[in-house]
Amino acid sequence: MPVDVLGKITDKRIIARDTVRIVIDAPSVAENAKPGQFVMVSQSLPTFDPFLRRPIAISGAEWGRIELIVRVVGWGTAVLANSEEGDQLRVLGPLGIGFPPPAGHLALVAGGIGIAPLLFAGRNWAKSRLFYGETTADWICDLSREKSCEFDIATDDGSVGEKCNAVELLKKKIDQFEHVFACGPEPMLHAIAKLCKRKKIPCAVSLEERMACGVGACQGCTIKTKSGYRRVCKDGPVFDANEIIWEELDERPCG
Amino acid sequence: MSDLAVNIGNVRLKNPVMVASGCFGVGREYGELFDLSFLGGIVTKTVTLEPREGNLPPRVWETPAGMLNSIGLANPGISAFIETEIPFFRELDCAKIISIAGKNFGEFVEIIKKIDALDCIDAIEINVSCPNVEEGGLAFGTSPETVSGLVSTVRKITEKPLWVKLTPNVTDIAEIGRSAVDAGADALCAINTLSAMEIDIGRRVSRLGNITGGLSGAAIRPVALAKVFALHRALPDVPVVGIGGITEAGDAIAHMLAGASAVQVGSGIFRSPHLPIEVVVGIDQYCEFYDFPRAEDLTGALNIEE
Repeated sequence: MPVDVLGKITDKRIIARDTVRIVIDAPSVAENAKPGQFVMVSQSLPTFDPFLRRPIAISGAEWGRIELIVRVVGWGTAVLANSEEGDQLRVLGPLGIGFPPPAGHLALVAGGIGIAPLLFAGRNWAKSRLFYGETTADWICDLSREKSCEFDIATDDGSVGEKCNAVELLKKKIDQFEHVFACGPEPMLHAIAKLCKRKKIPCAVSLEERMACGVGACQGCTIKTKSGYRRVCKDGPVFDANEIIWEELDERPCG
Repeated sequence: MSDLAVNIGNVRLKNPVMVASGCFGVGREYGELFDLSFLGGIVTKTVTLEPREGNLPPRVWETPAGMLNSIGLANPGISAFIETEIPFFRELDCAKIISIAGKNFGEFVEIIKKIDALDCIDAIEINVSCPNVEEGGLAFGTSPETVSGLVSTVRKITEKPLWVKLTPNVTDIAEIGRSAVDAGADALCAINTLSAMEIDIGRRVSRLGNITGGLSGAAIRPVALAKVFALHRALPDVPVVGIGGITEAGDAIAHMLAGASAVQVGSGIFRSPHLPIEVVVGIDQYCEFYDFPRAEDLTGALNIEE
């Protein structure tokens, strides 16, 4: 069951360019949070700018605290990223369905800020390996605290890790895995979905969408799937890759 | 504690705060967050005769102090709604209002025939003001003749209270309101969203898949207050349900002072799920502080010197 609470920021640090990791004291959210779920977040005193909360993936939950990774992509995320230790945030969650139980060895494939929900998955399921792609070294989140999961890094310019993308990293080792979880830009997810289909490996993708309510009431964040329109916030954000009509997502006028 | 109960015609609400159509489903999701019996009433997501998938995404876009939506009346159709949603909805301990829309008079009649037998429904809100559908939405709600024809048609087939939800996208909302009341409407709900759009100038495309949508949120509150005021002034004996831009208790009180007998909270819920309860508490505090023994005394209690 989700709850709406005020939670104090107990730790905040910059972990990449324009990217912060925020730890929030919110026991009633943390105790039910599962990898793949998200929260709707705003400042404690809501303003009209932004008017709506922002959906942010949960990247960790332990000892009554949840961890969020926020990358500044607009004004709403800038407001959140500028919050300081000791400030309170409004947190509604945990929301959405999480990742399914993995079927054996698990590959986690992250593109950019898509890393956020996959860090939680990596901590939760020991038999996993993270493939993490970014454009350049500046944007790579600091993973030095991630003890439980091994990872390979790629950047488009080769400034850190291999000079390729996350899909190419995965391709080299895909035969070692029985399940793939992915989060990142839609073209990347589409490529992974195709690869997994060819290899007959189940693949779950976590999608991002603009949301109003975040709880399934307004039907604002729907996408077209093979079983009709589905709400990303309530029926997702994690979907079986085979359910997605990728061409519909690729053709979106904006997003 | 003041007496918070209000009457909209012969529908009694335990307090003046309802949730607006389209923002709340039938209450399943928000019912996980708070006890729905604190609400004066729930207006369902609009139901149509046939199932509707809704409009092409993207369907929402944030704007200054508000948001656009173009959901497009996505709903399972009245038969499936009665089968899957009514069993949940009927058990709720608050007033239950069903919002309906049709492409033509015949569809409204078909829907109401199915609803009329449902004892649990306290009132029917006729949505002739949705900006996001091609037929039966704004096209109906902007014509006094069409509103009058529709209301008198459906008035003949049901005894249930009929509330008509009006659009602000007209020159004279009171004229439309009067035509609804003269044809037999029991109450007027104002306002639905304002027709609106935003443009991505980089890609030169609309922010919404349906190109245009409806604006809601704090940004429309002053517009809504003026429309409620206009309706109450023109039709002082007709109950008005004030809707538009309520994000705190004071906004609801302003609606009532402008002439509303009750209010509906809409997109403000997305910011704060507990907003309806905060509004109920705030109205009670206001009544105590300013010595209004009953919340209904707030209706039209605006001081005007002319």
